[in-house]
Amino acid sequence: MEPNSVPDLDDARLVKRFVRGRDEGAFRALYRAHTPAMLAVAWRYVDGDRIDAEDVVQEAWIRATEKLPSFRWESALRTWLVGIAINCARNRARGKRATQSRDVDLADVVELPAAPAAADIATYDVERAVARLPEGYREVLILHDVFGYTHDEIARMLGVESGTSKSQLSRARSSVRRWLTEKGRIGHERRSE
Amino acid sequence: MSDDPNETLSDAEQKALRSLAGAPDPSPELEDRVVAELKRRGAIRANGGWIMKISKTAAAAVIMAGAFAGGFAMGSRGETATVPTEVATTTTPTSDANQYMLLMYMRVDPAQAAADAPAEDPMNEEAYRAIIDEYRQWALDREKEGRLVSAEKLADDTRVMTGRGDQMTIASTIDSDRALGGYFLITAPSLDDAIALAKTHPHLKYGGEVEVRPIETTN
Repeated sequence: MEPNSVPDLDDARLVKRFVRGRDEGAFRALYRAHTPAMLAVAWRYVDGDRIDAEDVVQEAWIRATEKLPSFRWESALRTWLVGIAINCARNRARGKRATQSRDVDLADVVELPAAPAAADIATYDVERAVARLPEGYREVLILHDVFGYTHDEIARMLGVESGTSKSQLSRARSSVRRWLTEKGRIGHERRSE
Repeated sequence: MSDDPNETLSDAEQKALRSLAGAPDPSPELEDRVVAELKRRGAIRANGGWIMKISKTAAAAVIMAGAFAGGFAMGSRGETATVPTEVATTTTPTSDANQYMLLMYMRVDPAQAAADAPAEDPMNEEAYRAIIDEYRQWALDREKEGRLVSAEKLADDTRVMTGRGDQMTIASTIDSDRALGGYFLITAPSLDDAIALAKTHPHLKYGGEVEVRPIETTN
């Protein structure tokens, strides 16, 4: 169990019902509780392609229902489900990239949004900076700084040590800042701190 | 204290990064698509099996609670019953008609009951209300016809006594795959008429079972 985490009684009850009786109602309740979090992460991995993201969610639920009977509650259910979604999304994203080019820079294949209005410039620049990160760094930064997961949760999701998550986050932040500073996007703000 | 300058984010950085979290809501049809695929793979029980019976039964239980909540008792509890205005103006059942008990049963899955968890029902509240109204209307119609003697919902909390003396046991569950949820006491000229009337009760439509029992007079 993750530090300080408390088993969600609703999740436990619903999983028990689903595993015991292949209960549609219990599954739908679990689906509705956790799919938004799974889709949000999948969305990032497949570069905002809705069809791909929802396919990832479907595949993740299929895998999850196969594994639920052996789920040991060593992490929160959502952490476990998002981890499965990440694995599915990674495979899909890699397969997609492989069909385009094996050696191309990640930032070149990420479909960036069209140039936004001036008021949205920070989000647009951060999006580009994150897209340029190596995959491992990018994953940790997105999970930690974008979605707010803890290092312990990320370690569970990605199958790495918590310390690895921390060090990758530090390098990812450094890389993002360097790129944004070079582009003149955050230089003034950070100097004023 | 760490001297890693990357340990903290400025407010602006935090805000910009969090803004990337935006993703659309899942498509409404995705849920049904996932469920259909899981059914195809056998991970979820298919419709038409006992799961749906439980689902409808759960609905029926709620419906019965709602239908009876207005109070249609005119017989044994007639003096204290809360009678809707439109019911109070109707006729009293004729004394020379035969009386029949319509017993409202609900199918129960023992495994579900043992799980100590009510079945989730996919129906929304609006759908429940519509069905509750259907039950109420059936009772009001019988009342207007002068055929309704009384009707009550029975609480789920039950005690079953068996044996005698020191051998008596009291159980809080019934070893059965169906549970009695309530009753309507009606009048009808004959058993066939009572059955014909029972067939029109919405309880059947929503997965419940109705048993028709003539009241046998002993005097």
